[in-house]
Amino acid sequence: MADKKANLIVIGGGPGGYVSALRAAQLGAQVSLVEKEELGGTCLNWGCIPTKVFSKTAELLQQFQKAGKMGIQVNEISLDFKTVQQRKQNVVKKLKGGVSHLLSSRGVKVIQGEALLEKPGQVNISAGNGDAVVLEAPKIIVAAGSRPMELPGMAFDGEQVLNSTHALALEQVPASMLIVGGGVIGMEFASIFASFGTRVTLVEMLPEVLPFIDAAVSDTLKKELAARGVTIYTSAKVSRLEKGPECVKVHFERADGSEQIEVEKVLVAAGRIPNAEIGRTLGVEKQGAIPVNEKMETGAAGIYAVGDVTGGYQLAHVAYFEGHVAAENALGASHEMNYRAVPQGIFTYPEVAGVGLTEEEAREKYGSLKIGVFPFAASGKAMAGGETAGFTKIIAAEAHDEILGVFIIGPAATEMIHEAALAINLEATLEEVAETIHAHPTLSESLNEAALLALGRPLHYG
Amino acid sequence: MAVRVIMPKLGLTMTEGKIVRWLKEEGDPIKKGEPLLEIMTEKIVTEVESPGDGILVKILSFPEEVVQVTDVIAIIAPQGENVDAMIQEIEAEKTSTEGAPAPVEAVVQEEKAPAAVEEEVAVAGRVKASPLARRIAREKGIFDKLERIKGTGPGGRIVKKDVLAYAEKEKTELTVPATTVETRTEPLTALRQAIATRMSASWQTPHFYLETEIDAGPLLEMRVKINEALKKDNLKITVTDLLVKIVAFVISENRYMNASYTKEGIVYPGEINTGVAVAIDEGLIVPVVKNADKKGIRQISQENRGLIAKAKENKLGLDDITGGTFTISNLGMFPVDAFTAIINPPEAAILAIGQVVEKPVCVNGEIKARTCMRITLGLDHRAIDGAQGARFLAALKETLENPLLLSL
Repeated sequence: MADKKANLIVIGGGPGGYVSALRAAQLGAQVSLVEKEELGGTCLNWGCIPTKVFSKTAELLQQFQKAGKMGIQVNEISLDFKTVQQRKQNVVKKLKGGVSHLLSSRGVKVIQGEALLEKPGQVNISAGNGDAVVLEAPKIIVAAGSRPMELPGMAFDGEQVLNSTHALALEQVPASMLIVGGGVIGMEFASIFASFGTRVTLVEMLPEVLPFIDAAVSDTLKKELAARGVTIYTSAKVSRLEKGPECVKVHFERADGSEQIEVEKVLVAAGRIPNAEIGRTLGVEKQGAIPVNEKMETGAAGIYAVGDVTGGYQLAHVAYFEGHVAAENALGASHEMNYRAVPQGIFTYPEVAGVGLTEEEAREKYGSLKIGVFPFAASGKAMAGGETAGFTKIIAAEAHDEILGVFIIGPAATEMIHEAALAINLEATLEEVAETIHAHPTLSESLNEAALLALGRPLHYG
Repeated sequence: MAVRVIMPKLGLTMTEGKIVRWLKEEGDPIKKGEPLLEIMTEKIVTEVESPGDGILVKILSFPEEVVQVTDVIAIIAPQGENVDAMIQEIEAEKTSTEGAPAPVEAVVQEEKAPAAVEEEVAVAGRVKASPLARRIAREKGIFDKLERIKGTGPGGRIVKKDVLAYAEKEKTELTVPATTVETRTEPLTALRQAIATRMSASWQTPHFYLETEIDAGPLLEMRVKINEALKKDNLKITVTDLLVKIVAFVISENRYMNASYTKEGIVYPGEINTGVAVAIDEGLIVPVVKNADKKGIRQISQENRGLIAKAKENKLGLDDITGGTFTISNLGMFPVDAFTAIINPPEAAILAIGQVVEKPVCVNGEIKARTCMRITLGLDHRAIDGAQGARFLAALKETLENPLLLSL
């Protein structure tokens, strides 16, 4: 096949990759994008989006439990998992079509195949049918993404030992499941499958689940999940899997001795590792990732990296912004990523969201703090909605009332966090949040009240 | 009914004025008598009041522009009144007086000027800084210095780390005494510009200097006696007052010293108006005592005192500083023995006075203690020659050493 030339080659069609390509094309560059699997990457196909289809169904199931209290008589609630999966397919398909359309309408050439980086300015692509293509471009953006991490003795078989991709493709809701890992993926699946009726046990090695989330929030989430029948063991380590024909016997160690449990499925959610191998030949891979500076430049001239492959935040929205910066810099700009306020959403029931430092991190870095915690039990809107679990917590430095972090657990937490992200990004202080009129009755008022609490002049609580 | 704002004629000799700044912006409402703009004539900045009520709809002349007296510089009209026709009319008048090729450029300039001015105001008026940056600046007592801080946030916004860096730098500068004072540029005030322009112009004048030492004893004695006599009226005259009187008197006896070189010829003004250089905070200004040869010392002293007070308060009128024919510059209050002053055009002479020093002087073969003063006469050689200058200096020396000659 003939060699082809472009201004920019993007490796990977996930959030980091397709945004890089769109932005570069918008700036007038000739862009080729190489994808070995599906456009949209992990997020759209096996991550954020399909999980949200599941978590919405799970949330509705929870709300139907309360239907009687809300004055709705529901005789029987049952889950039609086939329809859930069908709806998931439809949503994914529609969004993938959207990405594909965006790329083609901007003139981005999408090439199916696996990319190899042999030398700067050149990408070798092996297509599925054995054809090889050599692409040349002065600038290359690597957005190769990440994959679920396997643990020793717990190799994925797709039948009994699953990763998140497998779990999303299940045909039936398992009766029981042991989840290894209490990070975002583990907690979301625990919440989802518990709602679907699965008996869920979660084993986390560390003393806390969601260690990057404020401890008060993760404690509350643990209690909420426990109330729905999820058993969570922290400071516990799976030592051995014993696979039987019907179930898997999981042996795990705790401080007070070893335990075992028989489950239908084991979901290993121990994290994701960067697909950094692609950077080895050019020497830009280091310790399993392709590290970059704030301009998204790797160690090799003309080669940029964005998203999960860099070993940084594993968040689609961060990859979007990194893609933006990388594309602009690849075409001559000199922009730097701003990670001042990175919001994070965890789609459990109730939802969790956070931005900035946890109380613990803030205390270590800033010393004296001002903290305001407003419970949704005191919110009119939450009461009317019948969902009063959770709270909004604002963490500020005693000095200058600088807002350092905001964590929310409760209804619509993942939507509400952006006011806090904006406040932190613009360097607002408690005063500005306290002075801003918030509409009543809304859940968002909780941030206003939390700021007033932190300032020592609460109105509706405390 | 729209009102035209014109460059006012503030003094008999005023032909043009420079716009210093507008105190209102286009679109601002204004009342008759309210300060509207500042103009500069000679070395004086004067506030111009609004001639009418309404909205300042159009500014036609901008800061730094020099405008002929009675030219239209702005339009004030009632809210909603269309003044396009009036603007066209004014521009047409301008065009017809300026000649054919100019108008395009002139119009373009006028269109561009307001944008530039507005931009400057916007930059100076509003500092982009995050709430946290403002808060920290306030708490560190550097809020008033925010505009000096360079912002590194989005769009040049001042963020926390910029304020902290500035505060840190300021602290280091304050605590380390060895650090030198930072170089700074003081923007030119209107007065400073006027001084610079006039002094540069004067530098073109071919100066020459004549210097002599006088016995200041009799002059100082006279001052003591007059002041004793004036004590009952609670008045006091200064050496400068005496100098003004004596110089004017000697000039009246030597009219060629009251001269002004022009291309048309050497002008000998009919009046003898003596200027006295006065140092004020912003620079230097020369108020003029008119017809000092015809006035008594008491009156001259009162006028001088009034003029100096007005100069220090920036309240001199245009007529107070124009019309001078000769200048006296006295640095005798400092340890300056003698100096060469630069002539204040269009005058042709300036007298520089040094300090009074007691020193041994040979009188008839004997060394005696005398209070001496050196005076230096600077002259415009185009108008006055060496011998004329020397004759004047001799007459001046004689009168200063025998002030009784005044009574002749």
